[in-house]
Amino acid sequence: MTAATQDFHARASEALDDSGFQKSISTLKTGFVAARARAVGALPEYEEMREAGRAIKDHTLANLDFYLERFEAEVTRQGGHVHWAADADEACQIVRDICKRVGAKTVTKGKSMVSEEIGLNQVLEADGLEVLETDAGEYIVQLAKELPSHIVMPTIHKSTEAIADLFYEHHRNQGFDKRADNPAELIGQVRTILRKKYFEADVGITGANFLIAQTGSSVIVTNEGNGDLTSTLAPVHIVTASIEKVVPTLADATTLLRLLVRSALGMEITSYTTVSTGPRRPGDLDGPEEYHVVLVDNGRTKMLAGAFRPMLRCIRCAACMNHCPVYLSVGGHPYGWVYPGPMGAVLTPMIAGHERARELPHACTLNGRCQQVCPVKIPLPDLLRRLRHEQWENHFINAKTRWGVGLWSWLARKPALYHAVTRAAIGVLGWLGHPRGSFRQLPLAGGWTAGRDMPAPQGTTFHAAWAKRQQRP
Amino acid sequence: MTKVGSEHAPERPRVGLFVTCLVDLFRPSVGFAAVKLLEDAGCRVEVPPRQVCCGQPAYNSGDTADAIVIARQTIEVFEDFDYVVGPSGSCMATIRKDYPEMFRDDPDWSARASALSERSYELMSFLTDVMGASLAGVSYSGVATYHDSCSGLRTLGIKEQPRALLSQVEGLTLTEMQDTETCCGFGGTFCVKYPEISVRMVSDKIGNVDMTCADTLLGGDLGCLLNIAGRMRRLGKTVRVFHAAEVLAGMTDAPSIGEPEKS
Amino acid sequence: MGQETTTTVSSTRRDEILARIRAALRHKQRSAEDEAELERRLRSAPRGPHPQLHDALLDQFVAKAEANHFTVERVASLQMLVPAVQRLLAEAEAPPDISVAGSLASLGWPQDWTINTGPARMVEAMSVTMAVAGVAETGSVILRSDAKNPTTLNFLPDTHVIVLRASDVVAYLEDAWAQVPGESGDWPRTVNVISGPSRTADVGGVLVRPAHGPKAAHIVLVGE
Repeated sequence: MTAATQDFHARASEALDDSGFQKSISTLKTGFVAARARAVGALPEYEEMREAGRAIKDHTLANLDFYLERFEAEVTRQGGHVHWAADADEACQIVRDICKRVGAKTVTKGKSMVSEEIGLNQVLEADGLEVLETDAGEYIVQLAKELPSHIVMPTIHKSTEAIADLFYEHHRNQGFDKRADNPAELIGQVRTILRKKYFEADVGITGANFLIAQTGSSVIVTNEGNGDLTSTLAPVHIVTASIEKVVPTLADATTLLRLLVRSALGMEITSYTTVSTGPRRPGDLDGPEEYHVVLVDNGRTKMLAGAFRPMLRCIRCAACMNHCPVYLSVGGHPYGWVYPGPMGAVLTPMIAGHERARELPHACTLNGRCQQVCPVKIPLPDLLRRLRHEQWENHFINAKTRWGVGLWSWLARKPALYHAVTRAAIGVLGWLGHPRGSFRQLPLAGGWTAGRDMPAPQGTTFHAAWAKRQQRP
Repeated sequence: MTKVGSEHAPERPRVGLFVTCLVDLFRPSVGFAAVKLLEDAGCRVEVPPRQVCCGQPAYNSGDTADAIVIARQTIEVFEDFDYVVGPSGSCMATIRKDYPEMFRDDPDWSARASALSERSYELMSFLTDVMGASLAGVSYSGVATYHDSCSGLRTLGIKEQPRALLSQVEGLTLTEMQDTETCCGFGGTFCVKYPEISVRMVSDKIGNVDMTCADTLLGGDLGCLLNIAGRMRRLGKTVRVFHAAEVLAGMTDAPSIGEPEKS
Repeated sequence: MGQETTTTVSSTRRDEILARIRAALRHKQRSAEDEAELERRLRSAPRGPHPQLHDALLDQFVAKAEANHFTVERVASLQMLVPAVQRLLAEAEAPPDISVAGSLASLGWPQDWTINTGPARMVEAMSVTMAVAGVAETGSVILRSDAKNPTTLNFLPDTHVIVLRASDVVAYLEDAWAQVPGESGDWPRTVNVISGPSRTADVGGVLVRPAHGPKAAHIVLVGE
């Protein structure tokens, strides 16, 4: 799916004015944020674990070729297949080809952010396949034809009311002719509808929280059990995973799992943690006959090469966005793509290109809370500033900003001139402002004064006052 | 009045005051408060006139080239002092953290940037952590709550130091607000590039101030304080906003930030 | 023929991606020592930090499992399993038509019951499965797939009964992985680490049980 982040301002405004949305998004603070704080607070080993997680990821990234080759060898040894895709188109083509070969008509999907990144559903639907998201949240946004607004809780932006309306519209012809309005009933409808589909599916596609080089396995964590039904019942199981998902061993994955579930949900472990390795074995009573892993590059090797390598540590916990005051104000949709919040503000330009993500690195105060809560210590503010630097170097910054910053910088290099000019300007502003103490309006400062007064300066600059004081005998 | 209380405080160190552009332009009284606090703690304070800016506006806009030029100027101006101290966590974080990174690949400047970085401090943390200063005879009548500015908090670890100093002010009751560590929405150019989001964030911050029933808001960074005070004035709030240095130096007779002069 | 072409393209692409990775890491080829070091690390599989257990092994396991919304009962031996399941079935008001893992099929189930030892059915009231390990750290049970243990027994029934020997309870997740190969020594298609019944909070942030998997999960802890 192509990124559409040029609308950040407009969508952010909409979100700020939408009281229903504001109510929904505020649940993140009382929910995930509070739960994570409790879970981390209850774990004296947390900082040690965080450092261990960072070290595992950095070690793996520094030896990524070795571990991917080992992963491939193990998958193959266990009877599975590994495919390599340079970009979104290639990844989709690989999946299309498998589906075509097996004559697939119905595809079930466990949650996979990378499959949304590559736009897989649209491609398969264009081939005439029925594609069903099985994670309840993804199922809902699929029905609503919306992007998920959060990578762990896709429906954080939707009220129960809105979901009830949606289901009433779409489930009426599937035997649910009375409008259900409570969460238990609504989820019950999803359970019933999808239960059949798991059995009908010709292909089941899941993501992977981790790929294990040691055993040639993919690991998923869910609370619903949907990923397991997807990967077990269909005759073909395809895993879509980006290349940085590989870790050396199950022990390494265990360390990262301890961090992931606490950071994402404030829990110690999800209901289901599943390790899948190859197709069913001879004698097995169920399980797929084919197991495929599609390894997706799509910008990862580019990140690996330079200053953005730490971004590849990301384990998709969403703690950064849960704690980001900008995300908490406007939600995920203004970010325009599948990855919102701080991690999305880095990944979107790196994967989809600077042109599609001009606003994102700037829609940030660099306050650093994201880095503080990141379980693998990604220096997100530094990376966002680095993106601003790259935009500047590549002339993506608009002329007004370049001119403004350029003028400031020029003046800052001429202290004597600067102090003279500012003394005069501040003198005027101070005189104009001091009766009231602040300005309701100020030319060139509309962005500030639209919502705030500008406190009046004190009528002189510090340097002018200091110089005057030094002159006294 | 402050006195030196620590053994490892250097004898009468020579301190260059890093004024910061916001203090220079918008509130010189903070600069004078800083000078007083430093002198009372036993420092010899100088204010080099060739300083303007730490370069953060350029650096955070992505204009690294200009930021580097400004940084070189700052290094040249300040490197001969024993310490460089400024009443801003954000500016001093730029000098302490960003300067060494800016010059990482520059053999000539890298050592100079690192040297300056190690001697650069935010004001309140300098007073407590380096000078071991304590206050006596300072009073402020009121209930105050303290906003932790992000750079100072997360880059420089400034959290306890302002509170330790403020607790020595007679008559001042310090009360903690909810989400004291949440960004106020200033963020440099963010507040004018994304004014609606910024106003939402600062309104949330003011909501938290309201809940404490404090009559005074304090902080260590003028950018945050201008932002909060500006929104407070627009909302008609009467909470007084000062830079913590002004309270610590006993200089609160002048109008608070954004407050009209008393007639 | 089509598949061959895909494989060819894929293997060229494979080499290209690996080459890009090596270029990004700035090495053409790893030294023999470095390679050996990586192999050593894979073999030794070093562990990271783990939380402390608060209690004796079994006590912690039971406490954590119950906190995960398992119900847990202790029985002296496997002979007690059938009566336990009879009671659970009566409580669930379900018909005596259940799916049972092959290794538990000959325990003397009532004659009038239907015992399915194949994969689970689309409509499934109850399954009885055999775990290979329990984990005290998290209150989890570990199940693996093989000829006697279909994975669908863990996900399709309304009530999932898990039989676990107390002697198979280990302290940490890392210890549990070691239990998986078992007597056969092979690594299975599926390993499920199950830490409670199915749930979701995707509608309005309200926790709902179940989502797609079992509504209830019951552990029968056998022996000491």
